[in-house]
Amino acid sequence: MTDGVTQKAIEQALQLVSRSFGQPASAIDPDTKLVDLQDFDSLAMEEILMELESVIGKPVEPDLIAQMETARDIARIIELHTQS
Amino acid sequence: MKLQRRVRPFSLDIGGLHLRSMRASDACQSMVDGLNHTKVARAINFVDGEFNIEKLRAFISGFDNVQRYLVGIFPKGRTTPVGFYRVEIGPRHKTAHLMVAVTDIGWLGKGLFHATCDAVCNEFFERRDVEKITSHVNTRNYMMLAHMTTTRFKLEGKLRKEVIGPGGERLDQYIFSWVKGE
Repeated sequence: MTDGVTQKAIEQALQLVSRSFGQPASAIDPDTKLVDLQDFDSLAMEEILMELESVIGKPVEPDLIAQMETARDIARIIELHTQS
Repeated sequence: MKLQRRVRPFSLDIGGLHLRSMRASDACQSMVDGLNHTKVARAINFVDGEFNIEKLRAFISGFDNVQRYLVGIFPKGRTTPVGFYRVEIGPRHKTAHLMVAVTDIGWLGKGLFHATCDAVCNEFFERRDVEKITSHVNTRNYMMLAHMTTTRFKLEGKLRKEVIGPGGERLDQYIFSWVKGE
């Protein structure tokens, strides 16, 4: 576990970002800002948010969206919302 | 003495874009197609979703450039709009309600709102006597929510079951606002 985020959540977040951008998860650094990824636009962001909604099982609220700068941030949200 | 209503069409250049008040003659098939596109209709809550040229002309004619503005977004050198802002002013309280739509699907996700939002809002703050602008966004309109979180608009709250969605269901909306000077 790093920074309160498990490796499993980071992998899940990278997979999610990878699907939205059409890039292999291994090519994405969890600490790279999403806006700096090649082909980033708001359509990609929308896809990420729809995927995240299905992972956490509820709509993603604006305060969470505002915190989502990197895949690690997404992992943190997954971690918080999927803990049993 | 009765005050004259002052018609002031909107006109603004922002980078490679020209934003101006739309005229009925701007109604075109590409805009009709855009408004009827599922993704656009769902985002802006045009429930009937069945525009045609005549309906679009009538819709555009309903804006008076006094309290109701329909501002088309035109890439320079192009005569058909790729989107628009709809702004309705409440003069008593110097408020305005804003919504934006991208009607050319090829421009979806390309940052039109991000590129133009500040300048459009500042125009209403500085030249049209508006002190607060609000915008409602459906809770699952993620593209717009993602944009809103990067602007100077602040989240004010959530309106429960505020509007009727395309499928007839009532939808929640977030309300964002930007107060002049903040």
